[in-house]
Order: sequence, then structure tokens, then C-alpha cells
Amino acid sequence: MSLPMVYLYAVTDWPELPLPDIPGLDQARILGLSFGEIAAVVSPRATAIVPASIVNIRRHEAVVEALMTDRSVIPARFGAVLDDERAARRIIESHYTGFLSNLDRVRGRVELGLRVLWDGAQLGTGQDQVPSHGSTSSLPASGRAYLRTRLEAERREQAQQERAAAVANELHAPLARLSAESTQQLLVTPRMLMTAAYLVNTDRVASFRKMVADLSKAHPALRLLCTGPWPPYNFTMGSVLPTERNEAHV
Amino acid sequence: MSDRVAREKEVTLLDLVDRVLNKGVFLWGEVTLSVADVDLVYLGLKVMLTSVETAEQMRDKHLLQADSDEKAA
Repeated sequence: MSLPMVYLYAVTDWPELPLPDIPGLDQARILGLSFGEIAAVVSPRATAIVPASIVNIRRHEAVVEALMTDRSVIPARFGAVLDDERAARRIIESHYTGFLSNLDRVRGRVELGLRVLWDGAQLGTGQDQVPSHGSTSSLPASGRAYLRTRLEAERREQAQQERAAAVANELHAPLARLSAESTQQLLVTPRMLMTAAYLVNTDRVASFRKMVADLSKAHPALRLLCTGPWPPYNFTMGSVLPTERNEAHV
Repeated sequence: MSDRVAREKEVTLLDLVDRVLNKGVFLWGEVTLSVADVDLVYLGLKVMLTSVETAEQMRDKHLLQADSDEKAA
């Protein structure tokens, strides 16, 4: 019997392994649709729209994490609903080699996250007053003063960026050396110096965490938060896997 | 200390939401992706993080103030 629609959690290897005993979205039963050496793990779905509630997000994650305990997973992005089981099978068949190679990349590895908070004002302190120095008004007195103010602001901004990159690299480089792959973003917000993700062999997770602890001690002015292990959400972007943010319907 | 624990939990939740909603495999044109209320989730997280950061800043200011009062005394 074919189900009307299915929600996709992940593509995994070891299709012959029994699925974990864990409910899917809206308590639906999860099932594996296998092809060759891989399987799409799905659950039946009555509607195409999936509310991005914390409950649903946690449920999606719980299923993927349960799968991750005894097989390699390529996690699906939240909200992937397919027309029916046949559509899910078509996907794993048509992208079979891409999924296989991506499963090879992540096998025996987990993703660890790192967020680093800094006091972005550290650099600005003492310099923020420069533009209004010597003036009783916050408005520039002339076009020239305006340009100078702009230039100074840009220089400060650039200095901030360079400092951020230097500090972030002191943290990122040793962690990247412990990882198979890594991603890094700087200053997503002014206080978030760095957001990074690392694909780490499971037998190196403890060393990675120790390195984070050592770096944290060496940089007392920064706040480091290491999260995970996560399914490899940031490292499943191979040839078959476009990465643009989805069009969300709100 | 409890502030810090709360903040870390919220950052972890932010990490979770960021990963599940924005990362992971997505096959353009082959999968229907109709996700509702994404902005509400992000707004909620932003409010949580902002309130924690504000609380930290207020506490830091308070500590600095207490410190300088002590020195002045």
C-alpha cells in the first residue's frame, strides 16, 4: 500500500538494520525505504505544511540522533515532505552515488559546534568618542568633517574585522587540525565572534573537547561554547546537495 | 552561574534550530518544503538571547559599580 505523503528525516547506510523504536512527527511511525546500500527514513504525513515549532524541530532531531547511534546519516533539512513513498525512493535511486559518497565522508564522524562570544566593544572603547571629539554637536560641521568621520568609522570597522579574524583563527586552527572538515563564520552578530562547525572522528571527540577547554583557559576574555555531538548537518553538501536556504512559507 | 547555564541552554537550542532549519540535505525541485512559522521560532530565540545578554550586561555594570564604590569608600 502506498501512503499519500511522507516526511523525510535522513538518508542512512545499513538499510537492513532495524529502525530505532522512536516515534516521528505527530507520533507517526518511522519506516525505512531502502535501495541498494542506503535507505530513506520517513514517516507518513497527512499535510505538506510542517509547523516549525520547537516540539517538531526536537522530534526531527530526536529521530536523526536515534538513527545516528548505529549507522551513518545524512540528515534532511527540516520540513522535507515528498508526494509519496515512490517519490522518496526515486530520490535515493537517482542520487544514489552522491548519497553513498557523502555517507562515506561522514562515517565514524560527528559534528561539533563552537560559538565564541566576545565583548565587541573591547576594541571600540576609547575610539567611539573620536567622531564627536571637539564638537558640541553630534552633526558634522562640514562635508569634510563628515567624510573624515565616515573614514574613521570604516577604519575602525576594518580593524575590528581584522582583529576578529586573528583571534578567531587562534581558536579555529588547532580545532580544525583535529577535524576532518570544518566551517567557520565570523561576526554573524557583533558579539558572536565566531560560529564554527567541525566534523570530528568519534575517537577524537574527547581530544577536541579538551582542546576547547584549553583554548578557553588561554582566552579568559572570550566565552567558548562547544555543542554536540550533532548529526553532520553542516557536512552533507556534496555534489547532489544544494545548500541554499529554503523558501520558507510563513 | 544559573544565568550562564540558562544562556548555554539557549545557545544550544539556537544551534539546534539553526542546524535543523538551515542545514542538512535539501534537494531543490524534488522535495516540497512548506515550513510554517519559522520567523516565530527565530523571534523567540532572539528575544531569549537578547534578554540573557542584557541581564549579563546589567550584572557586569552592577559589579563594576559596586567595585568602584568599594574603592571610593
